[in-house]
Amino acid sequence: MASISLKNLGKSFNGSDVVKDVDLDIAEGEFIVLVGPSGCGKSTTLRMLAGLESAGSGEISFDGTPVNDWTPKERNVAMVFQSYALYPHMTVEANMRFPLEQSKMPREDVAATVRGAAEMLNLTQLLGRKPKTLSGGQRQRVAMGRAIVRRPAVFLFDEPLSNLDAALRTQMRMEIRKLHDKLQTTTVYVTHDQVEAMTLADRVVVMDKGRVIQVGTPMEIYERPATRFVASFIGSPPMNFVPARLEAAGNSLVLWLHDSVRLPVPPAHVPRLLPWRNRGFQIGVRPEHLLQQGQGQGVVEFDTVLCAVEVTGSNTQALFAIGATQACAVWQADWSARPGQTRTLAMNFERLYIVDEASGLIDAPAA
Amino acid sequence: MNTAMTQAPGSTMSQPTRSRRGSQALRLLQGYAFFYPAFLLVAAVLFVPLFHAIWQSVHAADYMEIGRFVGLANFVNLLMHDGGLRDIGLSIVFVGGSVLLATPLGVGLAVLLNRPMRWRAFFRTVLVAPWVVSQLVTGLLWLWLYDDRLGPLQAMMQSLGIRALITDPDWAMASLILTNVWHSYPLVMVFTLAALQTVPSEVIEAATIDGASAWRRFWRITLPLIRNTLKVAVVLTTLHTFNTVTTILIMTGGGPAGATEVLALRVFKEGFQFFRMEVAATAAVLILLLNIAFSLAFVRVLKSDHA
Repeated sequence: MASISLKNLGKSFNGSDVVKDVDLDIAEGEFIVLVGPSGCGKSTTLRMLAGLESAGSGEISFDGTPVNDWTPKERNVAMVFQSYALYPHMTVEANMRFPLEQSKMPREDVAATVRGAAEMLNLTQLLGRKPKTLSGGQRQRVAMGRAIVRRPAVFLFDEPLSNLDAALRTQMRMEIRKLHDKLQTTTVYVTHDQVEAMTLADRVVVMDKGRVIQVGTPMEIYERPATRFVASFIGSPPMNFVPARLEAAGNSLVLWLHDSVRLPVPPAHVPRLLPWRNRGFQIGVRPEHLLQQGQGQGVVEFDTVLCAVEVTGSNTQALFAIGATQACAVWQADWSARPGQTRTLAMNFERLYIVDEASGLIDAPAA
Repeated sequence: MNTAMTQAPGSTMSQPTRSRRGSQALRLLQGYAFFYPAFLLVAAVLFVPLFHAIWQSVHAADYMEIGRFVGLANFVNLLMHDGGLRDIGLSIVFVGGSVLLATPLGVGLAVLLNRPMRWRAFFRTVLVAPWVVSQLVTGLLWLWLYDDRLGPLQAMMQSLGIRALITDPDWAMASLILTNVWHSYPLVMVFTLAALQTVPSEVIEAATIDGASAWRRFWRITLPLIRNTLKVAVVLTTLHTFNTVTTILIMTGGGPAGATEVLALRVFKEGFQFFRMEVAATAAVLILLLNIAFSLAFVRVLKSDHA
């Protein structure tokens, strides 16, 4: 196990910066998920950690020792690739033996270690098979087996579940987390899937355009996203953003959404909103916080017409227009909702995010 | 089952069936029409001469006429009394030497050319050039390189104490092999290069992460993954080298003192210079047998590991 520290890490290909000024401290045994859209630099960061890609600038250290010039072998990392990258001409057993043979482990120990890992991952029956004859989930497990036999200081995962179907992905996600809880090895996991990020990580690192935008526990990222990008990337369906302005009404304030929905601001929330009176801003609200009439307390209600309804069984997603913007609400199964219906929705000011239009920074509600 | 079900109404059954039969027959005819011209062409230029050669090899000959049946007498004669064994030995040395040198050279260059480097396209083109050059030109070019008085290689050799290359019985075969390697390695290189590009980079990266050195990555991962293609390249080079006549004919004509008289050259000489058709046919059949034997051996040795 190792702690990892990245300082000002950067990388450019053909003059364009792919990774820029990444600072990150990863504690020993921590499970870190790098998440972001494709091309955000997360995989390049991982490959620099692995030693497959040289660091363009900045410093990578393991346990306080700079490792920029170390080979992957010297760094003692193990990696699971999106394509699994199993050795196609070797059996499952030979695949798992390969890293041990490179480390010159005695023959008896190799056999015992491979057997142990195979048992842990339910691979014992498959040891004599070639990768070609295995299913996606089995290949994935072999790739993990090959990674764990060496007891590496760091596990690196590069979108390991992307090639699996939805059901298997959920199952493997749990297995990966269980494996980490058992082995307690420092893990860096790259994905573009926010569900994987939320469920697996001790801490999530949200990246965009080569930079780290926010680092925090899954709930921190969800509850207090730093920017509009983070808020729209984490959470499904994503947070609604609506252009808004404030208007004085005597002693009180009125919040206009898109100049079409008028919401009187409850007195308790006037101090929070007052500074935004002369600034361009949007409000952000998560779909699950747009309640139906009569739900929640201290809410402000408004009428709207549903444009589209999707019932998934456990919950219902309703799309409706606020001015020119389409917004989404998620309710516990409401089987009576139909497009064209007029509904009264309740805006909970306790859960209102304020987005600075110029910078995209978010003023999150107090927890 | 399916057709029966879709044709259910009885009255309309005969009409579509007849037309379907007609179109099936047409399709079959079409197949034959495409197949037979090619087949007949191959038969005319390959099977007929091949059969003729085998037929001739077990018969006596009177100039171009096929004579009486002699069984294996031609083979016994050639092998026991007419230098056939020596020619086979020289062929094997020529082929073995060429393949043993051209294969690692071709693979090595392919590995180099597969790495990112400057001027890669240029080097790829230049290194393929020997393949494009005809055997005739190859022979003349190397004859000049080896020339006793003018050849640049000869000058270098002289400083090592070797007086003559292509004209010295001790060095003639080695010189021919070198020439043939120069002409043959590009085939191995091109095949290997193509195969290398099908090896997924992630698999090589996985081996790097697993701690394998570049050398071990090549032997344990890359080579097994390109083995099938390499096998084809080696077999092709073997067949091609066994059958090589032009280069040898131009450079040594089998000399000096028969030091380079390989079996293929013997076929040419017996057939087209001495007009001893039975000897030429017998030697040709021997080459065919050797080709088959060597190809099978390579296929066995380089047996694929793929499931």
